[in-house]
Amino acid sequence: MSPRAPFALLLAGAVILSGCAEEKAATTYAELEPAAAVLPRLTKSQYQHTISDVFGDDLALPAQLEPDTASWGLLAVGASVATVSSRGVELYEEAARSLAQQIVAKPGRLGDLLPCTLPEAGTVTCTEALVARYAPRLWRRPATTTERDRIVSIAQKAHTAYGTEAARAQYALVALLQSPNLLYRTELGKEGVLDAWELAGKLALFLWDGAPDDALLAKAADASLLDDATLRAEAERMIADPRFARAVRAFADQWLHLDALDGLNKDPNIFKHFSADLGGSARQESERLFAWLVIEQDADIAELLTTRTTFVDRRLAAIYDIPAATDDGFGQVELPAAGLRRGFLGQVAFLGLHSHPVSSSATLRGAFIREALLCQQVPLPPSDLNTAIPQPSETARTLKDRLLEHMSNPSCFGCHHFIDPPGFGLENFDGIGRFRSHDNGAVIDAAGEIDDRAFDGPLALYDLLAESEAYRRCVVQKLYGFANGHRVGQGEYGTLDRLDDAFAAGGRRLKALAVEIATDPSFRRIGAPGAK
Amino acid sequence: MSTIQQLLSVGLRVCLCLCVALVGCEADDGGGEGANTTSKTTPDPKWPWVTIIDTMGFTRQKPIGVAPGFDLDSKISGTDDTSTCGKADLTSPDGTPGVDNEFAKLVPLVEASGIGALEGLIQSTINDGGIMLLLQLDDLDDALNDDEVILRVRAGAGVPLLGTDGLLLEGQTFAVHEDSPEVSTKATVKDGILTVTPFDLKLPLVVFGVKYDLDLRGVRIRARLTENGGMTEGVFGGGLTMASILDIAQKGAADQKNLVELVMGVLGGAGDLAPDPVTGECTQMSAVLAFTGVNGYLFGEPATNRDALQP
Repeated sequence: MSPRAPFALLLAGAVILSGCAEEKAATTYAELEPAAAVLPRLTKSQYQHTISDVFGDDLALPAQLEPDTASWGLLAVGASVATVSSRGVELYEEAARSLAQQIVAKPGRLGDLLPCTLPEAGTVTCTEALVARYAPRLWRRPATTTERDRIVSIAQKAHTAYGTEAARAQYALVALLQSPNLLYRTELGKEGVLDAWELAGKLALFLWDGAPDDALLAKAADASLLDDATLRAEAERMIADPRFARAVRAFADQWLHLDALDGLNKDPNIFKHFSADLGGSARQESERLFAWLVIEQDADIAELLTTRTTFVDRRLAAIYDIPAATDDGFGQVELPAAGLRRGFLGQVAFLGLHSHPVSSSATLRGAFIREALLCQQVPLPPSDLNTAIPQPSETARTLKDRLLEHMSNPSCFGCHHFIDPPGFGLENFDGIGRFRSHDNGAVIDAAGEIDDRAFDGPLALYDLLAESEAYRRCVVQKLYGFANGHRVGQGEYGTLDRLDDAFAAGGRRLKALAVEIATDPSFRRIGAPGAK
Repeated sequence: MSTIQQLLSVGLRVCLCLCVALVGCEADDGGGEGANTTSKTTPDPKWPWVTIIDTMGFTRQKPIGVAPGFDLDSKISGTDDTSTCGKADLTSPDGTPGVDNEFAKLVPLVEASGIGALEGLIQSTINDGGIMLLLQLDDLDDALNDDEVILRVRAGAGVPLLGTDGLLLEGQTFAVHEDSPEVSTKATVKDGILTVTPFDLKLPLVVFGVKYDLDLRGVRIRARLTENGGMTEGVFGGGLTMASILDIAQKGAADQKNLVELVMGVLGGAGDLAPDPVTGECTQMSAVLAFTGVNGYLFGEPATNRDALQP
């Protein structure tokens, strides 16, 4: 062998390795098998934003509507499977009547609603103009001739009965607002692909949590939205719009279960810092942090779990035992560098909600981490199982000790061994989120493990979760589910992989991920009935 | 209504409410949730939290002749002492003579008129932010023994947050009153007990929307420090100037001249300190306040690391 032979071999090896690297870079993803079309109902916030987008934000929006239902932890997914109760139908009807009445009663509004000059006012053409103007934004598509004629007919009857132009406009609006075309997202597509109107509507609900604007509708009307470059440009325009903040808030509310905070309740004899408005404050804190990270900072989503920045009012600051920034509302503060509180998992919204009214709960906290942050399935306890944990004793004084004792029962071990250890890492925070070093007089041991990785204390837990692949992929899954209104199906795993890779490569930024999801073919394609 | 009861209505109630800044009660354990969450003996001197007084109440003679307090005039006086206008000193519960706490002798009068309502008034005044006394320790290196500490006394402003127990919430943030006194006085800590060099204090108070200035002379404080440098209970006392009592009575019962005269009839003769060199009248009344406090913060201070303390 010549002296150069080893070098040549090395070089050949390097080429082969290099080739492997190139092959890896050109990862092929499993082909998309789109999920079957669903008929999602607008969530409450989507309904309200749609109304205010179209008619202005000075209306008294209906406080009571059919409650949203979560599925896979998301209201957007629940909206695809939930039905409307008969009471819900009544509520939507009442809402339509109330809104139409308010809109018509606005000073000078009638001329806007019936965009005709007298003596034409009141003609059929005038009502047609009303429908032509408002249906696309309310229904996310123009009304068909048949639909338009029905509304014109209703309006004409109202005019005949009441003899006023206001009645004509009001009943035309009631018909528009009561239509299933407003309440339901008809994203059925043609030949497995959404048409331009459906795409525009879906885009608006995903990125604005509300109605499409005229610019977006124009691109639907000329079908230019179906062009990839145009779609991307629109998505980027939309995330730069202030209305994107609503969608970010809606996603945070759903993913992080913030909507449940309005019912936060604690035993006032145990938690002196509790107040009736604490849940609302806690929700605001988390929403503000999330919006700040995603919109203002365009931050790595890992920071949701690790940041020292938060937004507190005086009561939350008192709970965190830090100075408040302002006497009036919320102010931005930095949590102490040497403290154990960081990010969302250090907030009352998480610590208080996922606890019992009288105590902390490593189990509830662990279950949230598993399900919402890591997208892992937590089994429900068997119905005949006694889930009560042992009372404090000399040998088991802390909650952790008692849960470990509970796990000694083989029928409890399986689930609790999976669920509780992540929650152990947060035992330094009591049931309302106040720091504590002791539980029941004993020093708290906040060590735990998650997926065979041990951690010692909350700071290590935050870091471990924030940098985990499971968390990153879960963010992608949740936003994908939020955008598409269904749980990720098997046929979408390849898409998910591709989105996840792009997410990781782009620094785990949610804004970029939202654009990728909106412009991904999976956003437009729908499967045959029964597809998974 | 009896004369005494009349006396104790309106003007006197306000007066006594304000005088409570000089009177004591049995201190509750003010340690809230998390109060014992630290085990560090030496607090970080940079920690900026303040103690806000959250309860005040009356000390009583128990038994007659015995009450908590301070020897404000450095003498043991009997009824024949003209420098105390004939007011005999009390003895502290531990047997120390020379305690100046003249106001404790008036407590039975107050009780005769419904002490509970008055104490409720005091508490509601604290809860409304009408009495907001902020105590802050600077240069504290050791919460058990430290010879060189500075106590800062200021008045807070704004509406305090209340806990579910109806008392000021621990850990909240306060603004300093625009008319706050800026008192700094030397203090020492021995075996966890803080004592201070006497100081004068003009404390702005608001009762029923009326602003008063409580003029206190030769104020002393004795308080037990927690391991993290907070003050959960203590007493302070001093001489309440008779001029400020008159001012308070006049403002509190402005439309009832007779009542003012009655109030002064009782309190006006209760002075036991600082005799006027010309008239011989005592210009101050000694009183002692027992208090409980909770830790809080001031706006504009950086976040601290209390919850970082590990066992």
